[in-house]
Amino acid sequence: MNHPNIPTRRPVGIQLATGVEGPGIYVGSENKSIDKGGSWLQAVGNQTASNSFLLRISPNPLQTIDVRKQHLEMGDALQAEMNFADMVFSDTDDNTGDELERSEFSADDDELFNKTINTSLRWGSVSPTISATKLKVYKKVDRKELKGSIYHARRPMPKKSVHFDYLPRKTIKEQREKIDVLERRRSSRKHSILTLDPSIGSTMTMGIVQTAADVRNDVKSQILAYLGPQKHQLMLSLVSASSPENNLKCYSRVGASISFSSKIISINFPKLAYSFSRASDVIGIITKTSLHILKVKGIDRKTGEIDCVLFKPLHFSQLGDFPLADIAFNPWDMNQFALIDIQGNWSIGQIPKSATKYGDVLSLSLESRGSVFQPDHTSLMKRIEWSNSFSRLLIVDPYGMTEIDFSENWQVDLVEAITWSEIRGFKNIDESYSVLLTSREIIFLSTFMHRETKRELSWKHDLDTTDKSLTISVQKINCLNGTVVLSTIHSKKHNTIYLHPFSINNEVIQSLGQGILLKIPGENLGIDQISDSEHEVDDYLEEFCKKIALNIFVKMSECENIYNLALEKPSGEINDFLKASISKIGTNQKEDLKTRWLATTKDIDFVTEDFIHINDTYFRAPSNYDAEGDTELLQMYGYRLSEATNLYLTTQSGDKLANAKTFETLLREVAPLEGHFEDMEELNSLLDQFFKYYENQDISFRQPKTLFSILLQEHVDNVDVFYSKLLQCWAAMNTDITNITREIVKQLLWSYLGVFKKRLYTDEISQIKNNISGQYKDILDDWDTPLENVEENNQEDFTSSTLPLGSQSQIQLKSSQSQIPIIKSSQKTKKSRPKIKHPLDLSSSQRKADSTGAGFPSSQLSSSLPYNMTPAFSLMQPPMLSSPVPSTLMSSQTNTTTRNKRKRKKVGGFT
Amino acid sequence: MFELPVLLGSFSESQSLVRKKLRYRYRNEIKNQYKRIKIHDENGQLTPESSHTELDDHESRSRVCRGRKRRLYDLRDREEHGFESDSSEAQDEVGDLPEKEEEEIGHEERKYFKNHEKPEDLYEVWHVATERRKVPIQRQFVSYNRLQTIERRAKRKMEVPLLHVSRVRSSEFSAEIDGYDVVSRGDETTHFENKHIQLLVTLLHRHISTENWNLAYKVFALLIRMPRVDIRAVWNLGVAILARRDSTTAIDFLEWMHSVYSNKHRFIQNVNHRLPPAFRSGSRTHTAQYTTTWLWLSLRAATEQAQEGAPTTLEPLELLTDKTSELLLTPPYMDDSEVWFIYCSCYFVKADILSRNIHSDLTHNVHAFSSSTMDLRRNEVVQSITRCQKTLHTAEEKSDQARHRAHAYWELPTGYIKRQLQQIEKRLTAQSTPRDQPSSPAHYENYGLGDTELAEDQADIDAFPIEEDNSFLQALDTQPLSDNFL
Repeated sequence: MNHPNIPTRRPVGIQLATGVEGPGIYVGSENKSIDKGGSWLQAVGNQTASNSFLLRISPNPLQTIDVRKQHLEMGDALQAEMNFADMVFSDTDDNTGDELERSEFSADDDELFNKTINTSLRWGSVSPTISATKLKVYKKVDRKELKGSIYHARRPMPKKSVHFDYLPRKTIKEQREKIDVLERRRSSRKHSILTLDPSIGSTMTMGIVQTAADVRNDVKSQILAYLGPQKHQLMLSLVSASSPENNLKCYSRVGASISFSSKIISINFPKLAYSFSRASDVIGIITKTSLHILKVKGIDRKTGEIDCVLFKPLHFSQLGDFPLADIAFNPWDMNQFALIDIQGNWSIGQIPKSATKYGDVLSLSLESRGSVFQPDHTSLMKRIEWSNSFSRLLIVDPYGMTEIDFSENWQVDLVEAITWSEIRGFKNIDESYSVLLTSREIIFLSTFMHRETKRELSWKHDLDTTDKSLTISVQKINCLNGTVVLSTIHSKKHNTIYLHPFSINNEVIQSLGQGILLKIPGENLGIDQISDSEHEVDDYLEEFCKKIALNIFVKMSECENIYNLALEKPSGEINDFLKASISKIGTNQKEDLKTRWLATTKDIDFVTEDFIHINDTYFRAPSNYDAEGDTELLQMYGYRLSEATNLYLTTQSGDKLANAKTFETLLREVAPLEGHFEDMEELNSLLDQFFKYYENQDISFRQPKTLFSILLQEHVDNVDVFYSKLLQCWAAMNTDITNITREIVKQLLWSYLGVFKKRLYTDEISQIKNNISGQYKDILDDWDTPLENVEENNQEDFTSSTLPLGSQSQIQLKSSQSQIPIIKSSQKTKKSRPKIKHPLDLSSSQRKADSTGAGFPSSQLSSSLPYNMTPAFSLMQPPMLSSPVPSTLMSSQTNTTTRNKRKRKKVGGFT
Repeated sequence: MFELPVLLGSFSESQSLVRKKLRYRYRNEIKNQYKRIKIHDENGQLTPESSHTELDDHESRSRVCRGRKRRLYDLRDREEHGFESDSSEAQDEVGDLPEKEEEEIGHEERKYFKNHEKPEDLYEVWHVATERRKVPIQRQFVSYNRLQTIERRAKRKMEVPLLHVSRVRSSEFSAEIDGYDVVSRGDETTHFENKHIQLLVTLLHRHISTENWNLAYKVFALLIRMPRVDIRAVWNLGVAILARRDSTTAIDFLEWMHSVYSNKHRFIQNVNHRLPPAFRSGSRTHTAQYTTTWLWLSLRAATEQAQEGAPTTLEPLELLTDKTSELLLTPPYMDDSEVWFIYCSCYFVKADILSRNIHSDLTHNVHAFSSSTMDLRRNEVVQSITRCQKTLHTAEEKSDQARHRAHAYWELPTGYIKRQLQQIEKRLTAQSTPRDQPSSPAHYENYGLGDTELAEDQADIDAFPIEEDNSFLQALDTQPLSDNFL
């Protein structure tokens, strides 16, 4: 055998992820092709290999223009999205043609973008201009106001949006309906939590059906089975062309519609073994109460009508006491099936052989049955599939997988998924491969006849691990020399499909290229179902990859419409981008929107299309700029500033200012700084000298270091240190980042630095003191008294006011390292009670920074980092600058892991 | 929609801790109840085959676990063992330890995982269906009544702990134990920083998906500078991005990862780890994925360079060989047959490329080289072949050892490599018969130089076992590695 195997670890298999190519084997040059050189065979199909399959998607995922023309009914959401698609936010490294777009980046777009960001994230304004009146740090801390700020960004509740200034009536109406439903649910259940019944399997499936007559004529037909408007109605439709190359119009009208007495939870098509070389003619349907098996008697290909008979249903009580969860058909026996209920009781059943006897009874075996019930496996999701031989079954639930041989009477737990992942789905590809979706990976299993079931290859998909509604579906394309498996993962929480291609060729599974993301238009909707499909292509794998054409049926949640997602590569070039277009199909014209299942993470998705390009020409130095003039310019400014300040000191009367809300005047109002300069050190020294000069006067300044400590959450004294720190963080963003950073620092400074007369405050304070009542006066009096005195006071009266003092004491104690029990107790109170900030207290803001960002000084950090904390900031950072601590204190984790603390080697950054 | 690469911060942790506490307490309870009912059943009605073997299975498993853990447990955990042994009584007074809440949560979780292994190299535990693991089919169905009894009892035990949790959490919990999936409504992250990270991560994946590498690079650079972002959760994305810009940068990055995040700690089963070690980190018994990725990537890059044909291009390959051989002196690499296989592949590639050069020189310009230079070159190839065979053998041995200890082992394409080596040997002599060249490595003894080379070569390879006698290494190796596996 000249074909080597990729070295594989058992039972781990090959582990892949984006950027991880896994082990490989060097295929040395053979004697014949000795001049060609060897190559590597690995589990990731690389671009140079012959069997490469580049599935790349163009930046604008869906052919939205066509959709706009054809399907206006998709509504405004799509329209808005298309506006964004047109608005390309390009990066600076693409040099051609970008200038044009930059200049076109008009104010309107900017506004639109801001609006979108604001509305979709429900944050405050993200406009970078900080006006002088807005930025008043700790000027006035109103707790009610704080609630609405970004620090308390709440989950977007539908109620909130009603309070917007203007909304179209339609939106309000919809919102009301939503709220109504929510209210109803809230009252019906104890609390409004969204739950999902995990026993519901695929309710839209495509399968190949071959009736007895069709076997004789050797024709196969693809049938799409899906739910009707009522959840207990099954619709069958004939999909006309089976070859993916010409089936862009592949959907005909409803061929049959059958109503059941209860809600359908799963529809299954049997997949017969390859050796049969035919398809089955039955469809298994599980409803809430029973199992129905439908036999297709005849298909009229012209009219699309499907003639079928139902066997007498098998009620769940014939199996056990619980509702049924899943059914599987034996690939080697057309009349055998396996049934499982939600608690893991399973049994083998028999379909009556003669189809003619209508009303024949489905029977369950008395011998081949058992249970995989585990008391701690609470989930209702149970899936059953046939494994690698006639008598072997695989039973999957979120916590594990069990293999059962009912003729040899053994069962074995193959997988235990209780630690770091859960199983989310399981699909049979054919009799020799299956695919398993866990919350972290897509896993391929090989189930070859007479071999053990093995984990072959896994792909880490990086999707949200907490998303319980992740579902996998498989599009299989059989080529002449191999198989392409497109695995699609979707979720009810968002409208994006994750699509990853794999190939199976000669028992070697390879991942082909990157996973791609496809977004289905439809703002609020998650994806409910994606049908599995199987195609036969009369072509070689490599050829197919060049001109891929494929249809995927997609059903959105809460919406009866089925969309046809068509993927194609029109030009036939392997490096060409894949084009995706979507069109609405189906007979249900009415958009029946129920609000139970709205996509919950839509907003973030919407923003990701946009990446702001900063117009950096704006920040660039003027052409006549001379670096040596900086000193002179700043010196001149210093003179002007001091003159203006003197003027301010002497002339401006307190009475005039007392009317204003603040007593402060910004420095730039006192003396504006004009002209371009780049020397931040000079500016720093200017400011230093300036502040020092007026230290003993009756005026005070807002110091920049307060601002820096808030922004960076660490103590920074100098303007130029602050500037270089920002530069470090942003250096990767843009090539012109120095100009931008400098401008930002300047803007920040000039919109923050202010001057005020101390006298005005003392006057105001004494005035207020005279006006307030006795109780509050006491609090004020106690404000500056030392801690010991305060503790003696009755604390109940001063719960809120003594608190900052308490936390202050904690810090003092901490530094002197005495009386440990007190530290502990005060820490707890600090944690649990609300914090009140003193408006002008610098140290309190510092403390706040400590509590939210940095746990302890960074100098300690390098040696005491627990092994699971990352020094993300040490990358590319000079050691002299103390970095913000990357992680918050993790209460229990730190306790357990600091035991293993070890010194880390300090290594410089990479380039 | 993507996983956030953060270390769990205080924002979500308290919530998830409560959830965990409830979940594991309930699981422990219901398992207890189930066991009790089973024992009751056995006394009453007989279900001979299944119950017998299952008990056996449970017993043997827990015995293994206990044996394993006894070595790892500290004193406090041993107390827990005692606690567990008379659990049925002690468990009746649940919920009276409110002040030790944190410890309690950990306790329930630890207790649950006492009979479950925490995998280190994967997210799930995967078994092979060996004869030893096979148990007879559990024939008895679970009936509604029985399930009700178990659940009712377990739920009654949960009443006390549920008193102290919020109403949302408790309704979430009740939905969960009824078997429903609870889906969070809206974004759970409301924290500014998390929001920011979320946005960056989504952008990162989008740009990777559309192969917009420049923007992806920028986003990645921003992302890793965020506090709380764990670079070990996104290193693979970084590699993908950097490799598109410049393959050497990607390799440097991986080397940096390898040197910064040490592999020297032990993975302790008894600790309640918050984050999975698979893909993220390595330990003394588990080679980190970034290390192996680094080696494979460098090997591939070196192969590409070596194939260019110029004599200097073999340098990176030799450099890598040296690095790998250094690695092989320390755990966990010294017992990892993958690293051994990489080491073997280095020689394999070298032998192939050198022999190909000789072959083409022999066929194209026969008289261009003097016989002594040719001999030197041949010797080099033979040396590589011998080393390749040796290291392949070691890799196989290591793999077999792991297999015997029921660890994960490697299936290596040994046969293929051996056949290829034979081909390479043939190449050396293909065109040289008229020049009276020996046809098998045994004949190289005739050449003085070759003799010494081979001897040195032998000594070199023997150096590894000698090194293992080193006291330092011995100290490292005294702990049997099987501890962390079943």
